[in-house]
Amino acid sequence: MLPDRYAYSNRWRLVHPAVKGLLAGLGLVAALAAATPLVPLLVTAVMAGLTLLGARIPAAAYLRLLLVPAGFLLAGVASLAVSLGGGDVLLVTLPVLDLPLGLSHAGLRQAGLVLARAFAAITALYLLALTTPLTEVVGLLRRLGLPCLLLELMVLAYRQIFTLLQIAREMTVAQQSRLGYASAVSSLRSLATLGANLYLRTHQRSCQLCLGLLARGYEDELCWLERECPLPAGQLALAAATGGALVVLALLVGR
Amino acid sequence: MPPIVEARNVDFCYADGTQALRSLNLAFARGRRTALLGRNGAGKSTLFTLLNGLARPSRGEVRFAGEPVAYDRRALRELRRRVGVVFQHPDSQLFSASIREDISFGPLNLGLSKDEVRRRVEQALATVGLAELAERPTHALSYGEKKRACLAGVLAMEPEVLIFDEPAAGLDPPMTAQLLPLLDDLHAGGRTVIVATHDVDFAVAWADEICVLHAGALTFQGEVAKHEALCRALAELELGLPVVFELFGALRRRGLVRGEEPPRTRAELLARLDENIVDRSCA
Repeated sequence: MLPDRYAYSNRWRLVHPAVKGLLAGLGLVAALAAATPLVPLLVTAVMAGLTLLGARIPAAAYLRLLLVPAGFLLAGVASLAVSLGGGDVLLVTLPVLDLPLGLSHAGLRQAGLVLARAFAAITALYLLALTTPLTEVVGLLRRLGLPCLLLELMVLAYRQIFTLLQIAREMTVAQQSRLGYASAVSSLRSLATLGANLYLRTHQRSCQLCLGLLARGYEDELCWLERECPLPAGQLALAAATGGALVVLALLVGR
Repeated sequence: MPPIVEARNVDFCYADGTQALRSLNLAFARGRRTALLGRNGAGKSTLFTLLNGLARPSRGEVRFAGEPVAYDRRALRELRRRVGVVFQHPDSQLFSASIREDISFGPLNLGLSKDEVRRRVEQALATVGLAELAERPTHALSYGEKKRACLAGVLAMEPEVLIFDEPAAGLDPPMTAQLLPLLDDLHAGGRTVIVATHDVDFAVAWADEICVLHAGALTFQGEVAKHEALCRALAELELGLPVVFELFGALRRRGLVRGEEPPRTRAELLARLDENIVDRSCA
């Protein structure tokens, strides 16, 4: 998985997760607190700049990763901008029922704000996700007091994604090598059996994992020892200053 | 001294009715290296889940250090601390994406202090030779490295009995070659080591004692020196005879080597052959 690979091999890999978490968290707050698109756009620029220039995530890969949420966003925002029953600028009149379809100034403003905020939030989260391995994010969340059950689920689910992907890949190759995807009909059939078998294998795996954990003394709680390193005061202050400035701007501008 | 772990008159039936073990009587002596030979489905893995208290026998009992296992919480924790099992498939044991965190799981369950856990994790990593890869995510490790990570996870609990299910399965020859000295290291401190395998050559080269399991019942238990009875039990299993045994037999019939007891490794066989040639040239 692409994001995971970068999380383990970027220039900020060894920066303390609290620093990256604080920066991303304050960026998120600034994006959500802003009343105009201006500050969210600034947050987007800062977060993307830090990810690309600071952590040195390749720009092409970064843009490709942004495309996925961008698709969802644009579809959602379009429905905000366009209003049924007139608006300030008439676009078309639907032949059915003579319904006018138009753009309203208010709708456009709202769409612009939502779009800017969403992008700022995404880039802030990407800053953390692309530079910090999940195990460290979990450690950070634990220190912030997230319930243990949620942390256990995150750790197990994350690990299982990779075993599941591997099994799925192996099964697909086995099906392909026996012409499982040669025609549309056989593709559909192969995909169905893949899904069904994947479920069975996952169930089997989870039983085995449970035995393996029990054998090592698992009782009620999944516990593990995290890497402990001292908080770098200087970096933390810098992150707080940058993020804090964005939050202050968000609260001031346009109110 | 009583055997360290023991199955007495054990039957085990799975929920679907498959009878995996039948009237099994098998005792493992303290501090020995035992190879458990058997074909797939002979009941080796089932036996291991019983010895570690993961399953209870349908009939009969499992004993640890002479005492029947009590299946309450505290007794089970104690049993699992003292009997460690390394399962065959690493992906079904490693729960965390960080191998350091994964290895810390067992010792933390024992209620040890953080410093002690940290010390054990680092020591286990060093023993299996993964210290340099400890920062890599689990899914970026090779199959052999994952197997070693599983072993480290069990080693960090410092068990008295170490049980391996098919440790060489899926390893390439160089990695299998590294396994022998590693197993010897683990045994060096007087630890009891039990290995399930269907590799007869590995079994005679490494073990003090061999047990043969066939369809859930014990068909041989004894030292490698009892080679005739061992060969009979192996022939019944169709696992084949150890290569060194077969070669030794053939050479002996032609008068090329002497002695009753077959060698256990290729190196031993070659040495015996050389010895004989020297003897002849002197005569």
